[in-house]
Amino acid sequence: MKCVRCNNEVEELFYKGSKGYYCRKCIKFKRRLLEDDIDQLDITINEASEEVFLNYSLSPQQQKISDQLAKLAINEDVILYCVCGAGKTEISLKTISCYLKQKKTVCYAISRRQVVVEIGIRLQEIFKKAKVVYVCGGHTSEVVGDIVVCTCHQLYRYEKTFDLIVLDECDAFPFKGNEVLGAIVNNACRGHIVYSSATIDNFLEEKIASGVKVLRLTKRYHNYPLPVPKQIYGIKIYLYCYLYYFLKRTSRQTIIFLPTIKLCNNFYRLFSNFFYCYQVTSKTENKDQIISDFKDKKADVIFATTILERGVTFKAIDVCIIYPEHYVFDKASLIQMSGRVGRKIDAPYGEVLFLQNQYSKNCQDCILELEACNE
Amino acid sequence: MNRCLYCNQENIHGSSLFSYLFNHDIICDSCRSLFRIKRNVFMLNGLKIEGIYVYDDNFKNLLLQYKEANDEALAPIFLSELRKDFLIRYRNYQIVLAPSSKNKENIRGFNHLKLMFDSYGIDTLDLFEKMNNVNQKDLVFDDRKKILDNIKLKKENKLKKVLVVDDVVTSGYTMLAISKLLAEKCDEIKYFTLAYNKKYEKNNSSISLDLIMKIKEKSKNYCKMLKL
Repeated sequence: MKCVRCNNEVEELFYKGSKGYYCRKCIKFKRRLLEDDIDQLDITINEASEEVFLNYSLSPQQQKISDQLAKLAINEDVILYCVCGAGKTEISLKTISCYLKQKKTVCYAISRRQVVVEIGIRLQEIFKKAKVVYVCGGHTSEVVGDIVVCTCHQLYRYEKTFDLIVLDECDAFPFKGNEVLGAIVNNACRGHIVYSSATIDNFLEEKIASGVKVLRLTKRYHNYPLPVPKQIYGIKIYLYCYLYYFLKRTSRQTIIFLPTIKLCNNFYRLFSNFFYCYQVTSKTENKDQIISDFKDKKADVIFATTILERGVTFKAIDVCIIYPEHYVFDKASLIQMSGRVGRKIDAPYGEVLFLQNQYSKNCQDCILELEACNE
Repeated sequence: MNRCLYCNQENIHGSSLFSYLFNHDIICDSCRSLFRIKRNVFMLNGLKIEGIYVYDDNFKNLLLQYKEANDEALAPIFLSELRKDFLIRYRNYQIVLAPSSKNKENIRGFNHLKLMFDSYGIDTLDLFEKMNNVNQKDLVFDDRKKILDNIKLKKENKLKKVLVVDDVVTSGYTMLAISKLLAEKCDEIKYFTLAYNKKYEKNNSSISLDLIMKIKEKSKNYCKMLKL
């Protein structure tokens, strides 16, 4: 027995119900009986949907990578390995439009729910004549369109449907290390996958070893160098004082990343005595409202867990990471968090601080990699 | 390998020697500790309802996986701690299931309440039929009262002692409707629910809707008297 959806072959994980055998490894994505046929969704691409409307032009390096990608992705899987803020979405535009021109189905999959709507709106502005649908928890009424933007979890709806899947941030939770999700992405694809990421992890290393080509871009689109974190070692009280004086000194808004929700609450309560603060954790109810308020400069400081780690863009900010040696932060997430700084061309500079108690190999690796990109 | 039914990891009850030897729970200890088991008897709309689980997010996920994702294997999890109760305390009672819509049953392929009891070999009666395919949880609180129009008795036999079983009690109007339908046909009715809403957690006092209505009427009368 073998599950079509998640490639599970362990026999204990199959259960015989009243309608026949089904796989229990991927049961969270609704029951799928073994004898069920593959139900492909019919997606017909509208005329002229491939036209790209960009009101800015790509930098020469971006253009070069974009051409290479469009050439390669027609025939094989590609890994797009670019630093944070290099414009991975813009680079993949040409490939998407190539596929649409041939009347092939395209999906843009992201691992986080918050980013789906943002990317969906951005793609709709670029592909004005195409119909972009975004599918994520809470937006599931419409699932068929020219370009589908969705979370990895929603891909279970489409079996062998897409000719091209652009898998953004494939080094992130929850896709990272999740066998079932990986199998579901493979099952949704009948053509090729473009993995795009800012870091290479074990999963991608295996892919490279099996012969998938890598396209690398180490410069941001505005050619300013990547911000390199500054490490501050010290005991707790010193770190608190340092943070206080840093926040007093800086003129930019600041995102402060913390490893746990409890710490986030404590810091928020302490620092809201001195500054205008917000906090965002996975338990906050009106996250979108708070983030848009922060973008309108209604507060100086925002305390966040790793929920704001990727996908969001703020203008002119500093980033401060407290206890980066904590086990929830790995190398990829540290690089992503430092990558929040200086993403806009009018404000390319910013500071990144690591306030740490102990030495940690992850931090060292992160700094080495960022310095290597700047050379 | 002995696997936990809920998380698919290996299932060893290793917290103590006693549990290692004698605990035969089908899900592992960490999964079991997700669900808050709190026995409670509360009054709702004048009915005395017994409940076990608190309906929080974790229990909701379990029930969703069972009912909406159609995972039949989970059926024995719900009553595993209560098997003895049903064999001893309710041994003279006939178990009557709350109504579920035919349409959904056909898609699922099983009746979710019946399967729970079947997995422990307890007999049940399916007396009711839901007429329209209306989902209680989609309705506003006030519309839920109308459920009496949607339920019908299938058979008309005389019963002695009856235990009415439902999975979740939120407003309690389904139970009220069942009690009205069964009132003349049975000698004794008891009510049992798997999970109950958080708001009934501390509600051991006998505050019922009837009582509140009586108090309101009385206060109205007093107001009238004072004006006169």
